[in-house]
Amino acid sequence: MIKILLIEDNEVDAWMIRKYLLDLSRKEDDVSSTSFDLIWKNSLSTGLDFLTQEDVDAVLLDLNLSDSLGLNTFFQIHQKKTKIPILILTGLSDKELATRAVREGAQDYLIKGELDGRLLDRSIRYSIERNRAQEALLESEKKYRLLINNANESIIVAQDGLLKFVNPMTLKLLEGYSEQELVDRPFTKFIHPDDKSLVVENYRRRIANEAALPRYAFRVVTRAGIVKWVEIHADLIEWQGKPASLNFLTDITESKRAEESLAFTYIVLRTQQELSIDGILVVDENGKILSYNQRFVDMWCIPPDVIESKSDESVLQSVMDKLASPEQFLQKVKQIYQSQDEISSDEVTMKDGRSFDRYSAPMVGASGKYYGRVWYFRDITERKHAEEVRERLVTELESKNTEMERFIYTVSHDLRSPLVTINGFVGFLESDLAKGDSERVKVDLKMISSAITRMETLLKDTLELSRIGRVANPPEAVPFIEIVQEALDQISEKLMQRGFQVTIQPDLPSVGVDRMRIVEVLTNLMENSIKYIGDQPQPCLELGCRLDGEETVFFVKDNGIGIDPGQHDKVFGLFYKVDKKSDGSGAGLAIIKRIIEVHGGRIWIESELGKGCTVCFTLAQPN
Amino acid sequence: MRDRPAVILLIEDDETHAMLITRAFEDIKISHEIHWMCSADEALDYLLHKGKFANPKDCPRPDLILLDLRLSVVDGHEVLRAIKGSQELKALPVVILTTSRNDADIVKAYSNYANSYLVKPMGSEMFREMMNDLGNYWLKWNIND
Repeated sequence: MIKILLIEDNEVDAWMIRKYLLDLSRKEDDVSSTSFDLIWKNSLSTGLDFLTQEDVDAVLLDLNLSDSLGLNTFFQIHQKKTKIPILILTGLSDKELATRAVREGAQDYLIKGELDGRLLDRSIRYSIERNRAQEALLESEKKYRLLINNANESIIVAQDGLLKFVNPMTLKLLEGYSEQELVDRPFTKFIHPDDKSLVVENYRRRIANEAALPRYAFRVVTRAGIVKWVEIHADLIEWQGKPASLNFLTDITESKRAEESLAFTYIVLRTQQELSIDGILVVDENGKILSYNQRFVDMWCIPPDVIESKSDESVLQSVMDKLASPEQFLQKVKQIYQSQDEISSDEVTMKDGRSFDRYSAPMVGASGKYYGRVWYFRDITERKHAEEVRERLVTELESKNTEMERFIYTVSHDLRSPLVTINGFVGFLESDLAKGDSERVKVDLKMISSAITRMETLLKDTLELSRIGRVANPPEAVPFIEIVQEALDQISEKLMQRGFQVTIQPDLPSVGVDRMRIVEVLTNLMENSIKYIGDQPQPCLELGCRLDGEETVFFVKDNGIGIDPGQHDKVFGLFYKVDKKSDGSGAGLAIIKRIIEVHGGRIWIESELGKGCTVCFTLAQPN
Repeated sequence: MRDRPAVILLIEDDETHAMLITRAFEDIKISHEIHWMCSADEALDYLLHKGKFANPKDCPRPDLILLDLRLSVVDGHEVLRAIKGSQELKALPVVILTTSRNDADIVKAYSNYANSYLVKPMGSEMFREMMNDLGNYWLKWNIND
């Protein structure tokens, strides 16, 4: 059943049309035929009223009605029901008007005089079908427009170097341009200058159907000059009969920024790692090396192929033979890998004497996921060495302090001794003078004078001792033989008198010393040899040097009475005398010791009682 | 009272000090004889009747030992330790007579059972007075026979 609204103020025409339609319904009286249901309204207002209440399949409309004339009639209906097909009924004289109505959206026009049933039937049916097809097309176009307008990508058609179509997302991407400002403008206008040639070349190739990048990134510039990164995906299409490129652009500015920020972070970390004084190794949870610095490779002397293998196990194996205790290290490393949350530090000693501080900490994400471990190695050899030096200096200083205390004690004690004598005998002298005992007076005076002499010697030697460290000539390079010769010159007479046979080792090295002082040392030592030669019938004296490891040890050796091992250290004490009646203060060896120490050396005695005496000493190595 | 002069063993390596002590003792009213030893070795030989003191007649047992601390080769502390460590000699009174006021020396001496510790005084009068008191105390009032 086709429902038709007829708006016609001419009753005859209306009757005619009703007749045609009724005939048609009757004629085609089979099951498949469609009958017509005709509703007749004789004015626009009643027609419109009807349409407000009911829908029809088509409207047959006379343009000239009692309450409306011409195209206005059509517009009124068309606006009311845009989707209902309208057929214009017109007289021969109004053909022009009817044509205009069709142009405005009417489906067809029928000229009243030429009307017959078949024509009417066909026109109505075609109009309905055509209208339905148009509606479907409109619906479809609406759908596609919806897609394009709401697409999250910018969709652009470019042709002849101009933008031909842009979707709303494109306006959003290029911020600030209206569609009119984009369409039919060269697309290069919106591309970053540095990327223009890339885009233009790809566009050219695409249009020419040559190989072009299907997908790449470039920068666009918004109206305000803001640069945005986009990724383009383009295809060759036909647009209005000519080749064009269809482009889909995605704004990747954010991800580009994230990428750059990541790259920056990486550079910062990498630079930090390379600048670090520590060797750094980062290993993932599967034992694969994620990162390391050159310092790490250098410290452990890891061959390039081993480090490039990225295998922690290979690196570990390659350093085993460099460790002082490899098994212990290996065990510790395995243990650390087993306990994922352990933060540990340790000291590692290398075979070559270097010491490393080792730190290790796990990399754990916010969620507690274990990503592997970071290892730090710091070469602390220098620091340890400095610590050792410091400790040695402290010990040295402490021993110097003790020595100083002993020195003060000795000096005060030994200086007191002659004072006791003088004080005592002065008293006796007085009483002996009073008694007129001249023999005793002589003894008293002798005692006093001897104590004064002793005191003088003690003071002189004490002063001498204190001067050694203070007043030292700058060291000069001297062949040791020259020092030996000079010392011998001073003492040869005494040696000859006692019949000494003197042997001097050839090839003595050069030394960097205060020449006069070392001559003094040798002279003193030789004098001691003469003094303690005893009744040796064949006195011998040997001067030379030997190598103890890296150290040159000089010696003065005699075959005299020797010294009991228990006395070896004591003899270097201040004012120590084996024989109290002998000359001098007993400071001789103390002074020698001091001279040697000022020269950065040591002095000691190798001797047994009755088997001769060897005094050995070292000197700091000359530079 | 002993029927013989008191025997004093003076162990002192400074000859002038030995002379001083001897002179200071001259005035005391106790009959005495001083045996002067100028080294530790000599003193121990005397006490143990060794070497040149093999004949006991030359080395009567002392009633008092005066010991200087700072002796050459073997010092006074060693001598003191030897005497006090000997079953035979430890009963002998040993008076340290030295120039040292050093605390370490004093502590060490008493630790090794020194019977007294005296510091050599300045001046003959003080010396005389000290030796007089010393003689009276150890040789007159003390009973150690």
